[in-house]
Amino acid sequence: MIAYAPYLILLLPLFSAVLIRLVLHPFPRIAVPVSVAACLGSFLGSLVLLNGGTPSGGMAAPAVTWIELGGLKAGFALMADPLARLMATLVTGVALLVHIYSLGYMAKDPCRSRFFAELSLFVFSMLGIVFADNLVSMFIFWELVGLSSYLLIGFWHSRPAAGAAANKAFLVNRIGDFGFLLGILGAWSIFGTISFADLSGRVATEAPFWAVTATGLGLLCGCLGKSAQLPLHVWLPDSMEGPTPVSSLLHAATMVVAGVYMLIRVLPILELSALTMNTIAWIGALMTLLPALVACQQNDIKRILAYSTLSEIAYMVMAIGLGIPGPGMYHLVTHAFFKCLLFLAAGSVIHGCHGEQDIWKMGGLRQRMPFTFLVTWVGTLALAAIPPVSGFWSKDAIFAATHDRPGLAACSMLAGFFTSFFMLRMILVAFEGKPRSENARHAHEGPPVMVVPMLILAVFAVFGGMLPVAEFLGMKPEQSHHAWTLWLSLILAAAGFLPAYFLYRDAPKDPLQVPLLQGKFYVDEFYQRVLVATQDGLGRLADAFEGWVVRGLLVRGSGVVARSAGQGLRLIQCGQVQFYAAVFILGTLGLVAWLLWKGAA
Amino acid sequence: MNLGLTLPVLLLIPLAGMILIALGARPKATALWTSLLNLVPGFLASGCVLRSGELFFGPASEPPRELFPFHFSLGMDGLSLPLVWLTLIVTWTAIGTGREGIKREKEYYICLLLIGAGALGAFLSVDLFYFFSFHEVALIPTFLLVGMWGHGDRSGAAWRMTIYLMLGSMVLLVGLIGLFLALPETARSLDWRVLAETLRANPLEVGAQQMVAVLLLIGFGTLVSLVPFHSWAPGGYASAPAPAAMLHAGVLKKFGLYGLLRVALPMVPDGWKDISWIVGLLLTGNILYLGFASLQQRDFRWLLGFSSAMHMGTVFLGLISGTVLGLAGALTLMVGHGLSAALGFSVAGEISRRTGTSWLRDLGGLAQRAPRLWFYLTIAAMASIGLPGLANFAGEIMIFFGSWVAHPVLVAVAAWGVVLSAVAMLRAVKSLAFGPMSPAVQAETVTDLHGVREIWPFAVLTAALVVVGVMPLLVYGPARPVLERLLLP
Repeated sequence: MIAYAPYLILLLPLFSAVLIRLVLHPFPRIAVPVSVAACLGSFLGSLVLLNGGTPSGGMAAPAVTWIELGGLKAGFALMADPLARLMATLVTGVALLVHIYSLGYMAKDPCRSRFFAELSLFVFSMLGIVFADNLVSMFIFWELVGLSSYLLIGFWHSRPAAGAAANKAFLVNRIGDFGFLLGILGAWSIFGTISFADLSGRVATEAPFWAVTATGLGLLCGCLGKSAQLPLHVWLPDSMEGPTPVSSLLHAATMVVAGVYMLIRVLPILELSALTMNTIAWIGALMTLLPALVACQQNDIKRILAYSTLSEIAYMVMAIGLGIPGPGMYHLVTHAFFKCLLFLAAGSVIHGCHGEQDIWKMGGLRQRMPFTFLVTWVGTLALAAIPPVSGFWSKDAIFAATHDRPGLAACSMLAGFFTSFFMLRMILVAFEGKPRSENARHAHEGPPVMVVPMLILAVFAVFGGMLPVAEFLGMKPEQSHHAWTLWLSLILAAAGFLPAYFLYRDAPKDPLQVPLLQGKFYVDEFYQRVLVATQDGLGRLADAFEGWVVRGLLVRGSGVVARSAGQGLRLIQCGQVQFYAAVFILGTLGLVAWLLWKGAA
Repeated sequence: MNLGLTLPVLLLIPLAGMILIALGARPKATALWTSLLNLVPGFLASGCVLRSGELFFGPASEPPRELFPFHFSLGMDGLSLPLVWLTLIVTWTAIGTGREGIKREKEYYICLLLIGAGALGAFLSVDLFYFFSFHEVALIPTFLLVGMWGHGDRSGAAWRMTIYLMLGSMVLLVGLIGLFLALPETARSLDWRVLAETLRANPLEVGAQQMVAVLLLIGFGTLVSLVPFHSWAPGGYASAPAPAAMLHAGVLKKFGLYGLLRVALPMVPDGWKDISWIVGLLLTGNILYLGFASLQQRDFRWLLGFSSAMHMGTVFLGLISGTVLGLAGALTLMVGHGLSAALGFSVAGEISRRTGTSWLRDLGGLAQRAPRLWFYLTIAAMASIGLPGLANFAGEIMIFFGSWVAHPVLVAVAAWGVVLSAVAMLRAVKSLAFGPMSPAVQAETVTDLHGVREIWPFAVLTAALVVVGVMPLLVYGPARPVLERLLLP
């Protein structure tokens, strides 16, 4: 029986999404509970599976064939090894809390049926990635996750900015998926299989170095898109146009870490090439630092958190690059708790301040929203890796592995300094001092359905460090512990609070003005000016050539000739296309018949 | 039980519908019911094909001794089966989206039925003469529809289509005649069963094969809008009334690809292999050149026209893959593209009917104003940019896997084409659907699809896209033996 549990876990949310779309759409009072119940069902199923599954992940349930032809065997056989079971529990658990939170957050939205249907679609697609047993089915759900992200970011149709952000997210991901697809094709042609279970056995084949490197880098591209790493990170901050529960679930806790999850699945391929692994490690190290710097100068509460997400995912990516997936997964789990918590708290602030997102227009929220203030501090301590809160334990495991890589250590530990800095800045500006706007003056806590999920997440954010994640996965690296990484990272993280405290204690406006950071290193502008402009320039060139040369001269020229010939033959026809065409065809057919007859005779 | 008789019935039912309409029956209802009724022989015939692999009606061909060397015989095998179904479904839904109370309503619906019947005839004909003629017959009502009921520069577009497609057909005809004449006199036949057998046993010499292959490529290629013979397509589709665009882009255009699979690959296999580098070059033009050009379109219907022509490049990639996976992918993508193009053009038709324009600049806010239309718009866009779960993705992934070993660079080009088409489509969806309604459109008059009568064609096409996307085996399964025979040495 338990063999079928993954199917149940996977299909319940799909069933809910389809049911709402086809039938329940006009009745939000039924549609919303259906979606929550489906998510609850998946969560309970995952809990049962978490303890009951076989350690190997072998599945007795039959596979569903999708395409099986000419060397390609792509189907859906769900894989429930410890990694998938852990991830499924995490995804459904966090999703359940976000569903409940959304009951309050979206209570007044007239389109909430659609919101919950899209949320269910997301849970389905994400679980598909989690349980995928081969690269093609992972790619399929990968794209479906992209679709649900697109739909949810663009949820508020009336906002043109939401449409733009949704497009950006989808298109940037598509660029990553271009590489991912080529990587999958490469892996298939080198190793002759796309199944994860077979991959680890077959990687010993002596494939040329360039081929495995190219394949690994192609697969990495998929991760760069979905997990928003350099140079494809630009969509994540913009995705904050979506409703805050979406930012919390998709763009902080679950969807964006799918890239890391995928890298763990294809690690046997990546490890064949030291070049690939180093690239991954360095992209990770740089991406811990750069977004942390940018976050120091952002004013939108959700964008600050979005940049911190970029930075935190980079720790996981770096862990993969260092060949230690266990700590990477550990950090993935703790991060899901505290980052989801921080976003829900930010949502609570925005909800309480009637849609205000600029921290400089808040202030004094500590008195008005004491619970939100408290959980924000919990999340902040976890994010800044201050012991004994969860984030400390998971980050420490990653820092320990950088002991012989000074460059990586420097980047990632410095990032810790700035993380503390911008988080304290956010708290001081938003919660302390006096209210700086009318909205902030009338701030209030949300209803219980919003408070309870935050409370649960806060408990996990504090104690989540005790979860034996790496042991459960069987990925505990045997490494010596170096005290200096622990102390140095801890000192830097704590030191980050000091300048923030002195600068922002009573600041009416930002005392620091760093245009380079406010402009996010001008990456967006660079892409817009160079890449998009090049692409549109090529488009204009092709279009102009098509319009003027091909259609204008060649085609119209021949048309004029034919038409004037038609004018000359007015005796037998009226100059109309249809008559002309009919005569033309009948004539041709007659001619052919005659030719063939002559040939045959 | 031999159900061979169902094949001529497939052609006679639409014919009866046309006669009834001409005699004064209510045009839309008659057309709709006859095209729905046609699904019945469709089911019977496909049942037979699925059981025994093929189904034939009419005299088997002997070497030509009579006055005319052609036989009216019909046949259906795994290769024609999916295309017959594509035709049946798209004809039915295209008539379903047709308008009532327009000028010359009788002729309008007769034309639509005729396109469907002509396409069916072409896909079912065993004799190459009828194969060619049925397609020509189906082209005439296409020109008529564009010329009489079209939008914009309809007469120019109709002229361009006529001249291009006629020239293409002429080249094709020369190729077919050349093939016929290249055979030894005793072996001459126009029956594709006989031809394929004869030419497998005694292949033509290489020079003749290459010559024929080039002629067939140009001929069929023009009909499928292969670059550089494509420029009739975008404007033609932009000017055509929605049902005509659905039928031509969705169904009739597939005739060219079907012809390559039916004639060029089995009859001049070495010639086709020799010119596959040319095909590779030209399909790059389709994907990159038309893909970039599609980014700049300001009119939604033009955009769909470009995007429809662009995706043909990926199908051609499948045709030169030389693997059964690639060919099966090409067939699946033909069906997928047919359905998604039909859905796209029908949505575009509804949008311009309700707002009076298809200029992206003048539109906006549809998602709020017409959520159902937005839903189907999104499905059409997502299908065309290869979202998994919809038919096009299944075809594309098979083509990519099937061509990867032989043509990795072309696969990369085609995969980049997916990105380009995503950019073009999503930009269009954004300006159609998001934000406020543009002041250029009177918002009060814009209504959503409502009632089963308006929604069903969209729902049927969407369901078909999902079914094929989830179970591509339905398309490539029956065709597999035919495709494998194509690749036998």
